[in-house]
Amino acid sequence: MPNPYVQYVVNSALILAFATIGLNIIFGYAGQHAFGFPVFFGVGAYASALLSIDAALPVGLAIPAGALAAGGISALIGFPSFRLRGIYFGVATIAFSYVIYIIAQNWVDLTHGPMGIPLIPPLHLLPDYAAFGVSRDAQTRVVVMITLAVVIFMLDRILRSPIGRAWFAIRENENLASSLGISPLRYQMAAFVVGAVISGLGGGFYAHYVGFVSPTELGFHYIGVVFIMLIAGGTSTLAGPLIGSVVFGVLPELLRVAEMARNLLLGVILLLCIIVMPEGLAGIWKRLQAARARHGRRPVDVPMPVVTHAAEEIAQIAPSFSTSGSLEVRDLSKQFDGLTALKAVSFTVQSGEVVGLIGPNGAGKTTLFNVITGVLPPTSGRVFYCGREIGGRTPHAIAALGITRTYQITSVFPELTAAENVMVATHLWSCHDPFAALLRSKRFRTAEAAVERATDMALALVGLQASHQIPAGALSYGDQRRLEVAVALATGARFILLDEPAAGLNTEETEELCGLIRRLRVAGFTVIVIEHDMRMVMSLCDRIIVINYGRKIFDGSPGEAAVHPEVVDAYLGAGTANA
Amino acid sequence: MLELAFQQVVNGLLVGAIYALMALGLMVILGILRIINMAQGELYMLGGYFCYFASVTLGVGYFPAIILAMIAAAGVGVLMDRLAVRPLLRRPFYMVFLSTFAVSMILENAVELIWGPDPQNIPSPFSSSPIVIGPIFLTSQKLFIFAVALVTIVSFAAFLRWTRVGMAIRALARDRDAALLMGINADRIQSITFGIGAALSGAAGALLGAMFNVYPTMGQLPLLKGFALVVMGGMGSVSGVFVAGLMLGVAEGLTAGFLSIGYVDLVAFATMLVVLLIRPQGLSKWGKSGV
Amino acid sequence: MKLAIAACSVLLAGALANAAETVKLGIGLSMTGPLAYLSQQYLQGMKAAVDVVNKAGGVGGGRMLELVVRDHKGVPSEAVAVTKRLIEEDKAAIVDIDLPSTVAIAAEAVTKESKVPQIAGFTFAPAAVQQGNTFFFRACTTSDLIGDALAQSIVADKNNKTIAMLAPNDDYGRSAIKSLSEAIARFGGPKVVYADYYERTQSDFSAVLLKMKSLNPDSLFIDVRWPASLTVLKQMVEVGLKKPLFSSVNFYNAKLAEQAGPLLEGTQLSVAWAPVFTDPASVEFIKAYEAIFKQAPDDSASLGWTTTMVAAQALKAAGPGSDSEALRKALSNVDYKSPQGTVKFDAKGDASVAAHVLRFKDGGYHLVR
Repeated sequence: MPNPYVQYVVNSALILAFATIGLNIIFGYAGQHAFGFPVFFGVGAYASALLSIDAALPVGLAIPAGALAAGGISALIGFPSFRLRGIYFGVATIAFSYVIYIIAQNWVDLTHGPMGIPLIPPLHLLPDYAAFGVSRDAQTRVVVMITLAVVIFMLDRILRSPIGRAWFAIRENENLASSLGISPLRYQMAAFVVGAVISGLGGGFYAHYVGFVSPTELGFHYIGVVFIMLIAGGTSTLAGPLIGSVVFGVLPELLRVAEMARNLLLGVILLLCIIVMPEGLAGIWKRLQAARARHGRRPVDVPMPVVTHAAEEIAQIAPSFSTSGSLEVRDLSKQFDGLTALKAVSFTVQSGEVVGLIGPNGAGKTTLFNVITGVLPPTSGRVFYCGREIGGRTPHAIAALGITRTYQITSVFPELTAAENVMVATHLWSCHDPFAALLRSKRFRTAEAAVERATDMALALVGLQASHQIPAGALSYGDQRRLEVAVALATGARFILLDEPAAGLNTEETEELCGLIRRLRVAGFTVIVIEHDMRMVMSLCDRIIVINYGRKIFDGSPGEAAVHPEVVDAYLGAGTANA
Repeated sequence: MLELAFQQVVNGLLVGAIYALMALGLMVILGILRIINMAQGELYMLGGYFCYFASVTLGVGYFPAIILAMIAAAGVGVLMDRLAVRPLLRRPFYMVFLSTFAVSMILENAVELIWGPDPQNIPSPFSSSPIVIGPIFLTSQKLFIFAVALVTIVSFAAFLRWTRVGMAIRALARDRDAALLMGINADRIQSITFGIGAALSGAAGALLGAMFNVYPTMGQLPLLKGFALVVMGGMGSVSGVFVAGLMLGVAEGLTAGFLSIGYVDLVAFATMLVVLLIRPQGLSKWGKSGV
Repeated sequence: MKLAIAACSVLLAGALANAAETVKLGIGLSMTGPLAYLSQQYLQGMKAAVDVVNKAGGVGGGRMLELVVRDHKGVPSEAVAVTKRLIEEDKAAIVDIDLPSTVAIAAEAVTKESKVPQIAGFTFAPAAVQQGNTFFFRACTTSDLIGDALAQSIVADKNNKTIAMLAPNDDYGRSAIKSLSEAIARFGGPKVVYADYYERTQSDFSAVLLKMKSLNPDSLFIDVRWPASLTVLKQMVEVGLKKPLFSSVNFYNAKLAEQAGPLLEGTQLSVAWAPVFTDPASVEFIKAYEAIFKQAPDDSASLGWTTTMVAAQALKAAGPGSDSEALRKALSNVDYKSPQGTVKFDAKGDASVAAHVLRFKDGGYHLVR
């Protein structure tokens, strides 16, 4: 039995692991750089201590109650903070953490101020008479390790579910995630609060183990320590935070031999870790594993259902949660600070049509798409889908109605594999109930099976079945374009907006694309295509809408468009009439 | 009561000018290089310590010591850029955040080892006898420091606006690739920018250290207050940050005078949070809400 | 004859073994951080005491006293780790975890469970003896006693009707103002018109001094640590605030006297001890300290000296090979005439040594009470 000092050091490191794991949820998984986040460890410590002393709650209840309190406070902080973008968000979280520190220092009646809270009742797993000589250190370690295991187990299940995928999605590409029906704010808040609860849980264990909390636990010292643990351990694995906590929880004690220069050495180690080992210790392990796997790998031979590329197949990829409807744009205008991008545009697209949207560069075509899909709010005018007003709504709400789009500039989730990209797209019709995910209920497993099937079919349809496990960022340009189509199909939406899907494709690939769009029409989809390839547009579309300088100048059949004087003048040029 | 307020305001302006100087150093690096330099507070602190070293150990005069401190801080800034920032250029931005955080730990501990953890005094040639203007009490030292801060800020703004190097820096801020295409040596300009940012914050540290004292952890809060000022003043706006700095100094003075000195440090954060929530893009019209 | 030689060698070996034996005092201090200076002085006082004790033969049975010092940075959770390490790895017989009071209290959780004697020589918080730890002994004064001593000086001037206060925003400062306010109230003294706490990181006091000036109190209690103390004195001149000044040992500082002597004139401050004391214990302490460190000791050093002497007395009384319980008993029976006053622990483990007041006059500190 190692002496109490060693046990103390190890236990403290394990307890801090809660803070590291909690931080990883918001920082590593959801990709939100909340620099002040570790304060919730201290918040949980205070809450638990105060509940057990002032409210006389038994320790076994105080700790989880404290964790929930930390979660509650995090909701108060997260909600306004997530309105901010970029580093402002991170700086705001630091500011909030400092505000909490000052409150703890000065609201002496509640928090005992700088004097701190002493004599916090310890956590007893077994009452003293039944302990059989098992020290409190050992009891604490058992409880902490079991709780850690449970937390990690639950986290693993959540990560391998639509919730986890939603987190990765907003980390990789928030706009794309939003257009696939994932509400960024909801999932950011979820990550924030879940992370805070886990951190607060650790804080509770800390309070009842050390027996003393003071505002120091809410200060920048701890924030720095937790970040070091996370980065050194690695953000991309479940084990990373745990490894980082143990190593960097124990390391400072080992470095006590160089008492005076401890921080200097820690700083140097951290710097080396970042420069040499950006994925942390766990990352090295992962790379070794991957290298080993590569040696023994056969060419990818994933058994795929034989795909006939029939139209019916397309319709079966994803369950349709909406029928294809008609889109009406009425008097739509969009202004940016003096620049009028769209002016009183009106048109209707009937269900089942394939409409081409053409016009010179800068005419406002992509802006029109952005307004329809909710990326931008209209300045005036209205948009209706299936008779319901959608103008000004959020992208994820509009996606939920059954509209999806691709982008002019390729937009994927670069770090996720091709398969994962498509799986994210199934969000709207998959099962994202956290309890179902935790329990792996029948409903959940059925839904996940459907998701996998849809993914396989979608990838096969666009010819990417061999790229199943390849990160989207590593795919060739053409393959990424195809992936975008697979993603769009997997959403289950029946109304698709394609923004220059043929850009950069060669003749053969463009032919494939046309074939696909034709099959979409047969399957009952409605499509609006922005394109510059006139041959493609003329042969493919039922109808053409021409936009020039933000105004609609033509709405009719391709044949008519080719000879319309204003269209020819603005865009086509005389020679196209014969194309 | 009014007298008290007036005096607090005047006092606050003086301190605010130094805050602005500190924040400008941060803004230069953040706004132009898009780098969150968590060691900026330590550069401020080093400015103070170099001034101490120059005036006490080397026996240089008070005024030249401040200049030397700025130059030395600039040197440290360039070194930091080479060792801790450049190697991480391709990585996600939070890596630089953490590497500069590591540098801040190293610098703080190093100073502690060299000069000890206790605060050190920089002897000043100014007398303490107040200059009384009406109901207002001032000191010659405070006026001197305010003047130096003002001159530094104005010179910096002029430098950015009218010199070739200044224009190159602004070009780099707007569009790095375009600047490269124009033949601007991005790496060299980055180092220069880092050096300038370090010199500005170092100057603030030297000036403030001369007024009070220097200690190894003196850079922690000014860093965060600097962030608050950059956020409120708007990224890229020298005048915005200057005004924000003055306002912060005044707000802190009034808080200390009318509420409690314990809440003074809260002012910067509370104000920043309120501003961000009402106007996420900052106060200046140049401000953007994202980096 | 052979038997005699054998017996002698055994005895000699035994004596040598004993002579090599040391008793360790485990010391946890704030070697880095804002209280580093005080910690250093405290430690020097301890070292002087160790020197004297060991030169006089140690703590009985040929055992020499040894100090094991570890840094807890003033962070309570680190103090817990330090205490555990001192007990488990360094095998300290007695521990002293000090500066600030919060670390001593945090350490009590450890010493209570491990049943290891803990002496506090620099812990003024009244709460320290309220943790139910029978192994804890406080050998120094308390903020209540400090407040009592200073209050007597404050109420001595009948014209003193109002007072404004400033202290650090930590457990020391908060206790100081609380104890002083209560003592003044008990003696029917001036009304406290303003009390504020400054954060360690703040160095500009002009705003709060201005505030105090506007309230026009009759006297001031300004308890500010070095070197902010110098800044405060200078800024008082700068804002034109001149009132009778009361403070604590923080204003008992050679550098402060040197650089701001005239500004300190007339100030009264409470201390645990000062080199101007002339009692035999103080004289002995000053002589021993100066012999080693070639300079006069201060308040903190005297506290370190006393703690070590108390520990030594208890160790001698308990004798070699004694366990923790015997040590504890020996400590509870200690009766030691320290430079600060008589150290005798009550049932709660509190020595309740009275504090003293000095006045700064004509460039020097003089004892008032």
